[in-house]
Amino acid sequence: MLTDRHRIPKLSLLIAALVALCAWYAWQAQRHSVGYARCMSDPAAHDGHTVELALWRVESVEPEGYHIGGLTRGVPVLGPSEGLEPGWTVSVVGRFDARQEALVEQWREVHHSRSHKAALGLLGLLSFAGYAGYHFRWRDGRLVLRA
Amino acid sequence: MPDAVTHLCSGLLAHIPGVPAGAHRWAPVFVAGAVLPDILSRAPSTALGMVHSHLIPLPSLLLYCWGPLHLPSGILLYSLALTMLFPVFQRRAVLTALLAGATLHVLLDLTQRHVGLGYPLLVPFSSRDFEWGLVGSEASVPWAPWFALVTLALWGWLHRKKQPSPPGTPPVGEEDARRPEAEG
Repeated sequence: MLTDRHRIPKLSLLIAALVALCAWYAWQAQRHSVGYARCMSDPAAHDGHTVELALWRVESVEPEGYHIGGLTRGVPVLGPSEGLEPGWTVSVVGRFDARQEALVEQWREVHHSRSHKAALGLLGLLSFAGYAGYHFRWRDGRLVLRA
Repeated sequence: MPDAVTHLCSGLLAHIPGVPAGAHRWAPVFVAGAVLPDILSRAPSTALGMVHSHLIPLPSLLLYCWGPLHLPSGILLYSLALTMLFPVFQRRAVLTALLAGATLHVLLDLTQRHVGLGYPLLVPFSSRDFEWGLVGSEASVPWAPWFALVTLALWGWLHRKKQPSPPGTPPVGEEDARRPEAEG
């Protein structure tokens, strides 16, 4: 498996298998996930369904609830909004209410350190880019480690 | 997941205490293994998610397809593909180091708890998810800067202790690339 015999076909096969796995996963994720957009595609059929939204950004705060955005923007959530501020990141579990076309909050977590984590992510990415650039070289069609 | 700095430092630190000199040779590959799951999976999904919600709508396939690159099946496939880019005589060690680093990454991530799904570790054979759920998803943030400082200090100290290579020593890859390559 790890020899150079049929190296290009083996590499192509691995990449094809990876692409197929990722495509299958995306298809499965869409088929099984119940998000707000899916609920809104047929509100009556999804009335009462539980929707879990992890790490969504608060877009606006109103007295009776708040709006959050992630892959879908402007998702209305009915629930206590005291202390929430636009721009914060929250995870919400809610029940879809077809009549109000909104999620009724059942559970919420505010992620106060999310922006710091994003900054650390960027820092880690840049640090690794420098580290890898120092240690790895591309030479004669191969990756080589610097001594 | 712990933040990327914590993953990077954990990869670097795992190669410091009591590790035989030969294993240090593969430290950069181990570190790459510890960081690549997030770089290949989280970075593109986050970037494309931002494009989708703020600039132009993207096909769902592009938004949801990155998950396996953070799971054992995808990690195994891309590690094998990356390994094939190295000289033949290094491949076994490179694959071992990449997978060991990725295992460290996944173990650290499993300590966290998430809303909804944990990690479906057996994809594509089972979608049953798992995580230990010991800490929150931002638990590593407060101590990541201190972890980074300790890592930098230890690596600086080790590099000062390290003997410089004699002049004319070939890079690791070149040395192996000169060997005759046995075909399987």
